[in-house]
Amino acid sequence: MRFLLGIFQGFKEIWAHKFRSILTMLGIILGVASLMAMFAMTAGIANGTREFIVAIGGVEKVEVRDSEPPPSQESIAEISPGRTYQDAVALRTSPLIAAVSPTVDLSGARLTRLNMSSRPTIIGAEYPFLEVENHEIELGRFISDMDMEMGNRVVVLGRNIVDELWTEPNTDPVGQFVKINGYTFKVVGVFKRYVRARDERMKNKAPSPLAMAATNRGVTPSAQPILRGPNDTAGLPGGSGIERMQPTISGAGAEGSTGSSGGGLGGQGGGQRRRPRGEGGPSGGPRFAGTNSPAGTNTIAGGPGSSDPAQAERRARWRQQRQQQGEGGQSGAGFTPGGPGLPPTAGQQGGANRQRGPGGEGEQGGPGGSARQREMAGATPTSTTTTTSGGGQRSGDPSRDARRANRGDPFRFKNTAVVIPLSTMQQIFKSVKPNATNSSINEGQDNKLTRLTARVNSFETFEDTLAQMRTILLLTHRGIEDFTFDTRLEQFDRMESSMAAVRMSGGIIAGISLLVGGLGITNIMLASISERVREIGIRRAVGARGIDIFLQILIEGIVLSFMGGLLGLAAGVGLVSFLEFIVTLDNAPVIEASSIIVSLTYAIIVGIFAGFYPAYKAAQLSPLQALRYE
Amino acid sequence: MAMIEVRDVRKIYTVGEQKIHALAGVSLDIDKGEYVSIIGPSGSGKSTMMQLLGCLDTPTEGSIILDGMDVSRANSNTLSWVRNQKIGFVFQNFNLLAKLNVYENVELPLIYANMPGRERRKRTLEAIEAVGLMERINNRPNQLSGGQSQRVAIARALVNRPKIILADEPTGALDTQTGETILQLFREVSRRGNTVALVTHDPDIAMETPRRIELRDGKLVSAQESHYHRFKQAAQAEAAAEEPQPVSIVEQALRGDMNNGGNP
Ligand SMILES: Nc1ncnc2c1ncn2[C@@H]1O[C@H](COP(=O)(O)OP(=O)(O)OP(=O)(O)O)[C@@H](O)[C@H]1O
Ligand SMILES: [Mg+2]
Repeated sequence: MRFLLGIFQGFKEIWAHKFRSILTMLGIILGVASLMAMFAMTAGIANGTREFIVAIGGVEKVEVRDSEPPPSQESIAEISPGRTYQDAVALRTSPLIAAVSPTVDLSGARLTRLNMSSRPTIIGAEYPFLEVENHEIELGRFISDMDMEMGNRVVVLGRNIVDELWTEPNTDPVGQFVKINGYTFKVVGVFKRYVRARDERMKNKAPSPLAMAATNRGVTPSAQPILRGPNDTAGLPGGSGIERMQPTISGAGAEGSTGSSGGGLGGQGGGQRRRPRGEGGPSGGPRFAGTNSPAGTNTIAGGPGSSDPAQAERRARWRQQRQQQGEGGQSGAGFTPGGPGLPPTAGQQGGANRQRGPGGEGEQGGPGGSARQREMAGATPTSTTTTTSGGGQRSGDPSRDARRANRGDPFRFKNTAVVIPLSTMQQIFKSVKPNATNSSINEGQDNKLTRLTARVNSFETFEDTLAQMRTILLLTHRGIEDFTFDTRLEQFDRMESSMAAVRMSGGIIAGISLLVGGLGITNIMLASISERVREIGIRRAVGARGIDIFLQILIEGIVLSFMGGLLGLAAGVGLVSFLEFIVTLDNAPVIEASSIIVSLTYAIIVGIFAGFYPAYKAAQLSPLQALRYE
Repeated sequence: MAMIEVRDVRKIYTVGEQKIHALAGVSLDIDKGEYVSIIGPSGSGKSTMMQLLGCLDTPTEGSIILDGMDVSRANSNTLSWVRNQKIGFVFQNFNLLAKLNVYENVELPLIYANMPGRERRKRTLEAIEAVGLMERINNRPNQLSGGQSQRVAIARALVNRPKIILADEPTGALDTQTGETILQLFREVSRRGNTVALVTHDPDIAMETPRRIELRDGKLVSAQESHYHRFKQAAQAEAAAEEPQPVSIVEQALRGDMNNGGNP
């Protein structure tokens, strides 16, 4: 009760000297405000970087890139085939790798519908693309195994492309047709619209930075629920036997061993990839042990016609699923051996998406490879379709939005994605053979991949995985090390450590300014004490103990700094909004709850220290001395 | 039983090399319920004595026992407690807190007594009522006259119902008329059974108290006789020598003055 009275007294004292109190608090106010602004800035940068890293595929993503071979190999570098589809095939044999996505891009293609046109980069991709790049399907489906096998002319579009070609917002273009360089493609799916967390915020009209604190913590680099279900693997067109064999594979494969030409390996055998298999002959799957052949193609890739047990199992499961759901309706196709099985339906997709969970907002990778690549691509006219993005959902100052959208939106590329089956890409746009068959991408001259990306199974085995990938690729590249791995790991580490440094130095600077504010409080309170010696004497005369005086002065100091801290918070919010306005980068400052707590706590601690000495001095005064004081 | 026992008390102030014997060995008793005045010339140590009795300071030597409690060697917190619980101190210059209003000033000792709110309010209002300032309850000290201020100070001294009331020249800053109303309050307080000691320069006031303690140069001159007493004796002796009339006139005048004070 006495304590409450003390606090009340403190407020009264401050109120009695409003102007002086404000001046006294100024140091604290500025200190807290700058501390908060600093926290908000670093949090914003961290969020932006994390979001970006996640947007370009997360830390689990590894991209295989070309590089100069070491000097010792320069003269024989020619013998390496470079990054080819065989690399993807070989990498898929690794149990440490969850998915491998080879793509072949066609830049500057003309994508048209009626009189609307766009010039995006067309990506020829396979099913794992979805997982590796963290894409999500909003409408329809992604490219299916069958599309890949048949080289179907189907396309999956990014939302911004849809917005461009269909002028009315939020169209469902599934089932309609577009033309790519004159070839007619059927739209089978549309990717989700990827929105940055901050744009989401703006959309939701939550301008208070305080409110952002909560929403902005969802995106963490590891927040990628990994669902490696049946959708995981993808066979090659023509059943060329890419084996994504998982231990779970069982005899069920038998049911689904529906490869187009049933030769080679049975479904059963596919399950135990590590055990040498006698049966199956040359198409017995990848064998690295003891394989010296630099031209690893034969030993690694299953020959044409080997069935894919994983795929078979997947089909079986899919069928089961569909039966359970009572969906039916898909004709008998799925059940017919060799028939057009396994269209990954929206239902299936939905299941996968659902399991990705709420963390999924920022998981998408765009068609561009690394950040650098993306920026370069962004500079070319081929994929600058962003500014027309999402008419329906933007709000606020349009010019500012546009500015923001233009400047490194990490989702720009995936919102403008145009994905067709890799086989189709090869057949129509890249093949040198006029009569290319399904397996033609393994042949010909132009079988280089634009990009080769993998997603590792687990973060823990990241280094091992890289080592294994290197071994595998050295085989396919005939011993020439003309590749490197581009990972987000270093980027992420670097970000974390530089963030820590920024936080540290910013914290020290803000801390010093708070300290100066505290000294200001000490100074003013010492002055106000000598002004109030008589008051102290009177209080002592009527029975106040030294400790009562001590607490009174201390509480005053704390109240002063606490109020300064609160005003500083307000000033900090203002400062952050101001910074948010002038910082048009991704890294919009974010006020987190923790920074508020830390700032206020620090202000109070400063208040305690600031008030301590004056309070001690006041308590030491003898009652008589104090009463006599002039 | 003595409410206040002073034994061989010395108070020595050291100013530089110089030692000032403000009190040079004083012993006296003041009984429960007594009403005494402390008189003496300026610099004789009256205020020093009061401060020691009021536990605002401790003696250099000797002991002071208040209500059976030795306060001469007590620590600071004990002294605070004694000041709060046993003593009401009234200063010449009122010593009210300028930032607090009448009510809050009077309430102050109760806050340090940790008294619960309801009781505190009751006692505070009671004390203000007793000095007749209910209508000025929300005024600040700078909105009060000197007499009113001193009444607030008295209310504050009384609010915690201490056994001992000490006043150092409580009327010193007031005109005679106002001083009289203040003295009336002390008389009232004394009548209620409190032990009251007040320092004064005014022989008339000293005359009023049943007992006078006179100090000179830090020493007790007389615990019973006063200036006035001796003045009276001298006057009587003079009257005996000449004519007896003026003595009774003086006496009557003094008595009448006193009666006037009693019935303003
Ligand atoms: N704090 C002090 N430091 C040094 N000397 C002091 C102090 N207080 C009092 N004295 C000295 O002690 C002596 C007694 O002072 P005190 O105030 O008790 O006198 P007093 O009887 O109250 O006088 P007055 O009637 O003028 O108020 C004086 O000589 C004074 O100068
Ligand atoms: Mg004096």
